[in-house]
Amino acid sequence: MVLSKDSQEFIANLKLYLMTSGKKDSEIKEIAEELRGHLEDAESRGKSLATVTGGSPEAYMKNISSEMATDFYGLIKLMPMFILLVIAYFITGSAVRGDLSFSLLKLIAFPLIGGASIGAYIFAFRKMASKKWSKKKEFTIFVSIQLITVGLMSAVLLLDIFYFEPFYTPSREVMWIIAAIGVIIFIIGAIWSKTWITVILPLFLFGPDFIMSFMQVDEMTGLYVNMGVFVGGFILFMLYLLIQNKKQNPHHS
Amino acid sequence: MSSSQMLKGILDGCLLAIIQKGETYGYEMIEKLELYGFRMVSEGSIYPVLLRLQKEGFVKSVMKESPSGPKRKYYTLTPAGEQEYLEFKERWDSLSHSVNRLVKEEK
Repeated sequence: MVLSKDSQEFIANLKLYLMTSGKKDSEIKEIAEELRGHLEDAESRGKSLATVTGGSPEAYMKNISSEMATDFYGLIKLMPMFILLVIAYFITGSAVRGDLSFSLLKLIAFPLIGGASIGAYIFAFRKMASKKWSKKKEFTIFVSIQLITVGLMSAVLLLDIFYFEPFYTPSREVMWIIAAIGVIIFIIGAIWSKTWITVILPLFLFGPDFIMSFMQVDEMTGLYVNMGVFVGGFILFMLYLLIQNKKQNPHHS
Repeated sequence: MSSSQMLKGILDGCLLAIIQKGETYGYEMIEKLELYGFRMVSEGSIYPVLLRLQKEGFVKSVMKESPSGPKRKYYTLTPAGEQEYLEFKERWDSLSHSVNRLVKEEK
């Protein structure tokens, strides 16, 4: 028995909503499976999703969520790995390129921007799960968050170059060690999250710099290669998402 | 006040009553409730209640594969649930008795 597209979407959104509300993985799976079973029974008798959710999926999700305990301990357990990954993202690239330095501004501003950006993503995911947004709106919101994050980081970097003295600039050897630690964190992150994203993303972001650091390339060529790989990687990633989506919903385009 | 709003306050007790009649799963509870004349505005409204009953330790559940169709989560009452059901019955008896006396009284 195959569920209707609406019902499948509802289950997926419910999972996303509960996940971003900090509920326990095992409990999310359980309620999702239970509701999937109910929907299969209901649909095989000709009932619609609305007879189950009562017309407002958003209110229904909130209702379910309010009866589930928030897994604070689980969230706290996630934090150290999360923070390590964010730090690794911020410094591995610079360490590979050899322009890593620490200044007071970076030390304060980057964690703030990182935190705010993650907060904005979680907030947007929650909203996306419970509201019916058009694909265009989803895309616009997520690209906006991304652009604002990159914009703020660039602004901080510029300010840093002109107005702030680094209080510590590691030697080239130390930078390689830092980069190696970053790589190890990415690999541990991949094993821990059971996805390849924490390995593939840095590979695209920092890989070209790593290879080019062994070759004599002038700055402009380097910049072009970087841009090319980044754009190419982005297109590949979008294609991958598209194919995954097709695979999961073979009846729908 | 719609009947579904009135039902909200006593749905916990009604589900305890249904489960007390024998191990059952969500969709079957809906069918049984309908047999007794309940019309649910949303069938899904039993699941938040079931989550609450489980959290409070009144019911326990187990996932079972069904020979045909989806996996199902079967619920049974715990001893605390049996006790809660008895107390619900008493409260309901006295409440319905009073309401009946009030609304059926001739002027």
